Amino acid sequence: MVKLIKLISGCLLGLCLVIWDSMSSITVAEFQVTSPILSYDHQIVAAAAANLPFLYAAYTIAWGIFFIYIIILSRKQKQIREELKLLRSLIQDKQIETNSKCLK
Amino acid sequence: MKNTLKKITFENILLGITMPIIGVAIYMIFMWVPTEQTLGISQRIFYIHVPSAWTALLSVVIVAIGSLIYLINSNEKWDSLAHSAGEVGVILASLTLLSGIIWAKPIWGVWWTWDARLTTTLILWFILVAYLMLRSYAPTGPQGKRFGAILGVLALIDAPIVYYSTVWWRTAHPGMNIGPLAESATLDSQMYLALMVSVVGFTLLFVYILKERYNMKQDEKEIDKLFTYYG
Repeated sequence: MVKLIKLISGCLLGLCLVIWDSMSSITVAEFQVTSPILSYDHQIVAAAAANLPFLYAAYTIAWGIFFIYIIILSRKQKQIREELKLLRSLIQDKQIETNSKCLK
Repeated sequence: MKNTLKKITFENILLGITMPIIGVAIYMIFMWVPTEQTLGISQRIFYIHVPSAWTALLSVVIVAIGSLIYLINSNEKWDSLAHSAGEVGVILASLTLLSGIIWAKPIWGVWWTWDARLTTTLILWFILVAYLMLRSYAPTGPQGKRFGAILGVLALIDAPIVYYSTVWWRTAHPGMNIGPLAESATLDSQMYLALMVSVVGFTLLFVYILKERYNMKQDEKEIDKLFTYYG
């Protein structure tokens, strides 16, 4: 589970870097669009840049939901395993105690 | 050597396969796939929206199958599978709705519209939430599990309605791009490949999370049994 969290955080970081990179390049293009000499390509880039926050939001929310869910799941799993381990050891102690009483 | 071999479980192998595929899918979505001419850059939300919708429907099918088998043979393992799939299904259905809402704003100009596909998906989400609520509040023991199983089987009725909604009704939601009902050659080959890789990655991630949740459910049941036997 810890490995999974590490891998997902790696993927998220990679994703953020890619989006950051594309955002920075589009900001330059947007600046060019505001100039009076507009090319068709720049208009397309400007339209794309306008929708970029939506793309960013969708992927951040999606991976964020997965990330949070996996963290909750792994914490709960750890807690359950510890509880199970404790219960087993308690039962074992109880059984040893009962056996020794029977032998006496 | 023995300890190393013990650590190689089904879950670890699955995770080892899933993560590189998801990495490749992310690369393809952001770096490789061309930008759609009319919808622009926000069309890339499609590569996360479709796989999440597919896995949400898959989870509903698993809930229904698990519930049906539990109703037939009362084997608790099937109930655990259905319950786990229901929980993961709520996450995926929420993701489908959220990504759809975010996609709709720049394309349609509104966050939400009472379109057939959107409404049926929202109903599916409500059914899954109701299933989990019923499982939480119903009496413990076989009676509560049976109530949940009946609702789990009924949830399957909505799945084909969601799938066929764009065919049965005139909707603002785009038609199918993949599958037997898709119009031919509606997707660019690069887009199709990126979507397929994303679908495979999401499906494997879904199987992994489901397996982990199922294992946890089994541990919870063991704790309950130990408490029952030894007080």
